[in-house]
Amino acid sequence: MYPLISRSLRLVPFIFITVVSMLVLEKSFVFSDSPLVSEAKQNDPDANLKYLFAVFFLVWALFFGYIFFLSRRLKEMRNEVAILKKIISERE
Amino acid sequence: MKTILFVASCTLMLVTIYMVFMWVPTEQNLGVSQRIFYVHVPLGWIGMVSIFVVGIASVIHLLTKKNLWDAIAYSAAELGVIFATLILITGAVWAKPVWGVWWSWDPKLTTTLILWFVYVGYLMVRSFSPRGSQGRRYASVVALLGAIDAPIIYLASIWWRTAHPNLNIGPLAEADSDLDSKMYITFFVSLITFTIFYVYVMLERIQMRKCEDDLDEVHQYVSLN
Repeated sequence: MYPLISRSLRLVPFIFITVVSMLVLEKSFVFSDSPLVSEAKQNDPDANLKYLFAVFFLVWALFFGYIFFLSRRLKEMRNEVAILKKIISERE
Repeated sequence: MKTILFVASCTLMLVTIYMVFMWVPTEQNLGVSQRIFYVHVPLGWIGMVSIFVVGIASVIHLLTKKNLWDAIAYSAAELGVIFATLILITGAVWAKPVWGVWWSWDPKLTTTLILWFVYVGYLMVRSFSPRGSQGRRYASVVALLGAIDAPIIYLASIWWRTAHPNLNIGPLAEADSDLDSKMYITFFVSLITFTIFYVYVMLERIQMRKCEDDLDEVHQYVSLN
């Protein structure tokens, strides 16, 4: 049970970033919902650029998050190897 | 080999970003948000391929009992969760400006969410089940369920009435697809980039998984003696 909870907790920063990004996008969408702004948005081809940036930001955040998780796991494994070496040398 | 894949994926990522933001023309109806397609579809492709890798590697492991195949299955499932999560997130970010909602219970979206649960279920079964072949057997059943779900996701927009855009790429794509040649090139460059990146991370993860298995064996040996 414990390893699963521990692994799940590592996802918390990413989930936090995702939720905050969606709230920011949602908020700006609601605030700019007046008829004038909507009309300007329809004429502006770059109106949804922030969504494109959000996609790239989230994709790279998750990729880097995963690579960070792998590097942490590698560090843990090195520590485990060092401990095992110590146990074996003490027995000998 | 891995160095070549790493350098190729980094270089192609930069090329893809340049093509998506600067080079490819903007689609007339959907505007800039259509460019999310160049990220979303390759992620979807890898998310679906990954579950086949998990299923096939699991079955081969059960037949041959070689740990390498189990390492491949586990690594593909872990990466599959990442890519399936990104399919759902990028899809939601695309849907908000186009549909006005982050999520709808559309057949394509729902079957993709089922795939995400299959990946998470696979990893949970592996975490909770006892060590050895029993847990691997249970997990391979979950992986095979996911492998059934993958073609359903692809065919969802043909089988059911769906708000999701129709198939523009692939063997069942509509013949009158109006994608510009620059759009096709950008899409295929992006697809190759993400595939190379997936293969590179997969090779790294498989190697790490094998080390984890070896380390577990040493732990058991030390605790028994």
